[in-house]
Amino acid sequence: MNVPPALSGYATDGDRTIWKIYDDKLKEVYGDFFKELNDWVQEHGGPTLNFNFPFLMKYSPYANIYMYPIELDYTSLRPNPPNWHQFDAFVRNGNETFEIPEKLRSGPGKLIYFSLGTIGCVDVELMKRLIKILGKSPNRFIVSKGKALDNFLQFILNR
Amino acid sequence: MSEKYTFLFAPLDGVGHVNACLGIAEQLRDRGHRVVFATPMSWKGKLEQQGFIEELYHVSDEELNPSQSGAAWWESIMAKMRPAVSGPSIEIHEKIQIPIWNETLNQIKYSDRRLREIVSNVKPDAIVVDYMLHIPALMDQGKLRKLIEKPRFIFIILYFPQFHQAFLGFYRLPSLPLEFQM
Repeated sequence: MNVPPALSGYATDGDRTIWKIYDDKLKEVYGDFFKELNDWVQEHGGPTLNFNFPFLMKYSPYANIYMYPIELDYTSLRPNPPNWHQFDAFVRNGNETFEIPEKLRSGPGKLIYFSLGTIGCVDVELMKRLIKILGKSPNRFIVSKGKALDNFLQFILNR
Repeated sequence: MSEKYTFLFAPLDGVGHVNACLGIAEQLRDRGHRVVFATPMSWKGKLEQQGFIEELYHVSDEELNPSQSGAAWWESIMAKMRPAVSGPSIEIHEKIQIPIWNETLNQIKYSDRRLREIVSNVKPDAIVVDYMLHIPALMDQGKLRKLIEKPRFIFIILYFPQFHQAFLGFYRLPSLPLEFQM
């Protein structure tokens, strides 16, 4: 692998001996879980799985797709395997409409939606710090707060 | 009119996973294909409202307790895990990811029979999943061929790019690059 272990947070140009240590640690941490999954899958007609963290599954032989903006992707370091396709976004229409609050409709810069997802947003200190940093940007942000920050959304208007 | 197919979407029980499927599902629905969603009971009515067929399944005995599935379950598990979120990433694996996956595996085991029944009833031409763990009821080709006469293809959607390769600083930003320190 030409990229650091998934979810490690290590830089792509970092010390690769640390990557190996992290990989070994991952195998240890997930050892029991992986064995239980693998045994059960085989008992139920599935294949023997390889420890290909974090995908403890067999890829589709037909088509696999993932969402990641092409500008940020790692394809120069790690070309996609066959049958893997990159998408910038999965855009849906849904059946709800969202009205952009009046005070955010116009103003300097771009209007940006910012979310760290289920796990990221429960780190309240991290979120506060990020909001503070975003507040200094010339752009307008809609930040997904999650439950940990009390309300669902916080609107920040920058000047 | 071109040929119409049946698509079975079976995302992991989470808003983000269902949303990842919806963009594609909407396009298929609008082109006249039959689109079925297999989801836990907590999703009841939500996908039907958007013009999809629902096939529901239970993920545990305690389903009647709403904190056992769906958004309420995520909320309670994340509240419990919160102290670990600020820790080193290897601790996040131990203290957050392992408990979540243990619970997910229990749900996969619990719903296996019903999922096979759904596949056999729906007879999809394609199955679309958003998962990181192997689900024999949905992914095992040998068994599926017996259930479905002509399985055409299977998509696996992953809306977490960070799992696909190194993902830098999702949980913690130990030191922000200079250009962000405004």
